[in-house]
Amino acid sequence: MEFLNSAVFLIFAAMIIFSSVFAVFAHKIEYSVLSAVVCFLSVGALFLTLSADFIGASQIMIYGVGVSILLAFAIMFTGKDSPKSLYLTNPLRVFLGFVLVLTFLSVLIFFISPVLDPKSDGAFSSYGSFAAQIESIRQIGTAKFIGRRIFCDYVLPFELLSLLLLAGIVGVGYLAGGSKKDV
Amino acid sequence: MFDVTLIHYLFLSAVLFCVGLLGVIVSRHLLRVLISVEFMLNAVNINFVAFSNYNDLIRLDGHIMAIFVMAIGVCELAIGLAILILVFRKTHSVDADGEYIEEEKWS
Amino acid sequence: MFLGGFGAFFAFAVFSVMFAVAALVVSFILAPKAPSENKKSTYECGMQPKGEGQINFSVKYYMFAILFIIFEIEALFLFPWAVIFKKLGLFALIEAFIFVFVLLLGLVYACQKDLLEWRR
Repeated sequence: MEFLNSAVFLIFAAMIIFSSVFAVFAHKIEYSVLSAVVCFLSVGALFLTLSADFIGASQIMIYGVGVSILLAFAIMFTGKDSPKSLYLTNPLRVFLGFVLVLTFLSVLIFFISPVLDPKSDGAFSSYGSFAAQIESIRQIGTAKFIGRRIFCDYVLPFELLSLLLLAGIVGVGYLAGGSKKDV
Repeated sequence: MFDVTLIHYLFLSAVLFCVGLLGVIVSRHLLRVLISVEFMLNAVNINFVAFSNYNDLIRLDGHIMAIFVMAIGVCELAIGLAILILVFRKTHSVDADGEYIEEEKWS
Repeated sequence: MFLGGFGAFFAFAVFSVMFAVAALVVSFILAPKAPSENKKSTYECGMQPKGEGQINFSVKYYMFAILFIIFEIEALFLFPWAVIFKKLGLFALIEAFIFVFVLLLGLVYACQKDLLEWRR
């Protein structure tokens, strides 16, 4: 049981890290996009191990399908004339980027490590009286609870998000379809 | 082997965020920069959902934040790709360092 | 909690991936291989193709991808409303209609600017 839990976590963590590193450092942009899609799908599977079924499904639906289609379209539009050798910037910036990122990662790990005791499970210990609801979440999934929260407490962000999506459509229509004669 | 707890997910998301940050700084292709931004957003989503699963399965705030982050990330990617295509149409290049911008006049 | 309650799903995923990989590996091992120059050419008769086959597609089609993904997000937000539709009542119905209406404005804009013309 515990072995399978940790094995699945390790497999998907390794897939996420390797595919994201490969996406950043692949020589061809097509390989980079494919590997990014693998990373998005692995993140979706990782959401499922966190018993977030709705988030996992929407991750697979939006990132695994929609975003990969967008990236493939971008390659189709710009693939031919763009030089194939766009790989890394000048070595000084690469070196400084590595130094900065490693520093940032060590700072993050420094702050993560002591705060949380890895021994403590931390889950549901203080929510004893809500055990029935937690059990129902386990049974029927999280979609109903998310719906209640969004449509009761997060109404304003929800409606503002529709305006943001509208701005996205209009902006893309203005940018990509602006000139009639240019193909 | 070991019991998977919150801290493992936090480590994973920290590493993924740093890989995305490295990609934004290092890479020269504009499309790869956008992909790296999506990696950073995914790392944030892992954090949200992990915290929600281990501490707050009653109110599910982390799940809702993750949905909003996804939607906003997709909007950002759509606009970013439109700008990329526009830049490509003007300069016939997708170089983030902008070495080919001088070749053609901006109309 | 075993894999967040999705143990059967992961077992199925592992099994299906192994099935696909096993089919590829077995066909790679068992298939007879006799490569020749004629088999590797693009066309067996006719002119040899020169240059690249890749073209740049028209940017017009980008609008379709954008509309697809925007309405995918709309579906993502309407699904939690739909599964709890009866309990939420009239107020949530109005909210959802406002959401859909605002996004339909974007579709109307795209139609107005002739961005959904497939030809050309």
